[in-house]
Amino acid sequence: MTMLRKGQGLRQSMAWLHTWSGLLVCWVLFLVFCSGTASYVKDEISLWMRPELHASLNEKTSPAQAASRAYAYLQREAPHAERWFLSLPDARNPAISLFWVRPATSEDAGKPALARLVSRTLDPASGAPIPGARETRGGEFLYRLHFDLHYMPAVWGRWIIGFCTMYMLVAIISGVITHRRIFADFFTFRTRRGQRSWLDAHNAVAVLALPFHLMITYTGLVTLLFLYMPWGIQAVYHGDEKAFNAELATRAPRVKPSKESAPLAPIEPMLTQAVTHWQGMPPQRITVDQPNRANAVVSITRDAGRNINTAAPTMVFAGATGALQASLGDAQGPANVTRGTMVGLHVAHFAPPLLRALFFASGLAGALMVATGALLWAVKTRQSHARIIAQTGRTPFGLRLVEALNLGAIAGLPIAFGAYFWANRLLPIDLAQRPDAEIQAFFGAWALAALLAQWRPTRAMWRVLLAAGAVLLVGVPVLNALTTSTHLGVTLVRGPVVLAGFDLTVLALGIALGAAAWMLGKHAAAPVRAGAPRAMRSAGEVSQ
Amino acid sequence: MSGAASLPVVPVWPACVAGAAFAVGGFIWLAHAIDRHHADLFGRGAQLSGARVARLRCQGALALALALAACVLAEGWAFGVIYWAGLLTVGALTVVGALTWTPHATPRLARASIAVGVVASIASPWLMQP
Repeated sequence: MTMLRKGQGLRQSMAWLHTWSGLLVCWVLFLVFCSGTASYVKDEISLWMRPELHASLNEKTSPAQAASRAYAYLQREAPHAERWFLSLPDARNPAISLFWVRPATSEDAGKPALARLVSRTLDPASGAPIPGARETRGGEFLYRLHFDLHYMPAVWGRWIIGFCTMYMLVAIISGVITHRRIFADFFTFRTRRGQRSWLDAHNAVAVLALPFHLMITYTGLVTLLFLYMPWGIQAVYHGDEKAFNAELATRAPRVKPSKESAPLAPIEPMLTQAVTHWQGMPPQRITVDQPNRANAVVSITRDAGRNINTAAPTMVFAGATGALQASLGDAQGPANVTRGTMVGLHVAHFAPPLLRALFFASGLAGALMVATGALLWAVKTRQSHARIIAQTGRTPFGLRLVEALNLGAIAGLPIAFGAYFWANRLLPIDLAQRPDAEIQAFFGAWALAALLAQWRPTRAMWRVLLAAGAVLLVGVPVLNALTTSTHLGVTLVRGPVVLAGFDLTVLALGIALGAAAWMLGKHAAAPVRAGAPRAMRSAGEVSQ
Repeated sequence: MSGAASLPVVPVWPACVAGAAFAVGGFIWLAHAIDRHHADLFGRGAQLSGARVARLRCQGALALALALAACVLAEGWAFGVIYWAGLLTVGALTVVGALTWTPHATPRLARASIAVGVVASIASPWLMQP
């Protein structure tokens, strides 16, 4: 066991720091890595989860057509909303996504504006929701889970995630310092050597993807910079965030509704003007503040295109007249470009499919790094307590807790993902609150797995839960074939490639879980291992 | 920056194939310069001469530099370096697997990878026609 004593060298004290900073937050980090890796393909996940949209995948609608259809829909359905948000179709997302904030009623008193958010997904060809299409939050849920968590106010989730991320940064840096043979062991993976194998695996996925791990942890903190470190804004702007945002000039300031109403000017001329200003780059997002009021404001934000910087320029128009008011973000300050580029590297919206696949693979390496680190702690601690455990027949409380949490998180989370995708296909289409029911399936399945893990954190339970995760994930493409007409038999031959990619990725992850369950069984069948004494010896080596 | 939209969309996969192949070949050579992996190949006690270590390291470093060149030439500095970092990670993990499960195939794998890298680089101006 790693202890901190006076007079230790730097490496030993860093080993202590690495062990405990990593262990404290590893289960949250595992969730963050898994949901974050899924977020790299959140549009693709959302698409897979909306099979009714697959038919319109090959239709090409121009941004102007899509925008005017969405406008017409919003004028019918939500003319008195406080704000409209339109996301136009792009290469990764064929649908129009709409959100609006409906006017507050007496029931909404004391609730945040988020509670009044209404969302719709439109078919760009017709400009209306597809009749009978299932409602789902799709990949958006996994994306929000990555930094907001769930079942708690978003800001709490963000503070918890920020705390864990800071520990992660500490764990990465101390891990590099404490690794004695970073170059000599660069490619080393010794199989069937107990604790030594776990250490090798942890080192391999951590060191070989180290540029990614460092980048993603640091830029992750930068994404929520102004939440974690508001003091600069407080000192210079006296806490007036609006003044700060106005000076940053990346989005139009919000307006209070005026008393007079006035119809909105058509959107196409504004789009044409914006696209001309951006030398042909397409628009991506349209926000309308106080639609159908005399002081309505229309903001059109450019597609980020092939820029790493996420802060894309915005053109602001008077909603009633269509006159240009401002052109924001054409020339950004260096600090803002730095921040935008770091956030861009984190979210990787710029990444074309192949690069996205590399980010996805690195994210999986991150999840494996956290998992192998957590397992290594448990294996090492069990070995150093082996004599006491053998004498008393009881596992120390802390060790049992960590083993159960490891099992519940590492084997449980794939079950939760599998349950989410199964629920998407199996729940009745017209179920009320269907998106919430899918999310309940995610957490319900995870809670069940975590409870089983707490009840009996044994090797047999590892096999049961890993096998359950494998069956659920391998079952996803099968279920897709039974419930939709865009299954692997079709998509492998005629595309679309993204849907085939989803099925194949989930299938591969399921097979990997199945292989893990099978290997556990194989090793259990041969309990007397020749390598056992050697593993004990290397335990001494590592903890020195 | 704003002119990016007018550029034709060029397929990037030939550069990725070249980058990945150079990364795998280069990392195998770098690994062969490490005592442990040298012993896995030639038996315990097989001594690595200083000249051989220097040559393997040189070859390995050169291959990784070629991987960077393939990425940067195809995608420019900003994107090229990101591609390179990702391909190095995936390539190195592949090499770990190869050294663990088929160490004796790694010298051949290194030569084959470098050959694939060279072919992909030479052919990429044609493969990259949009």
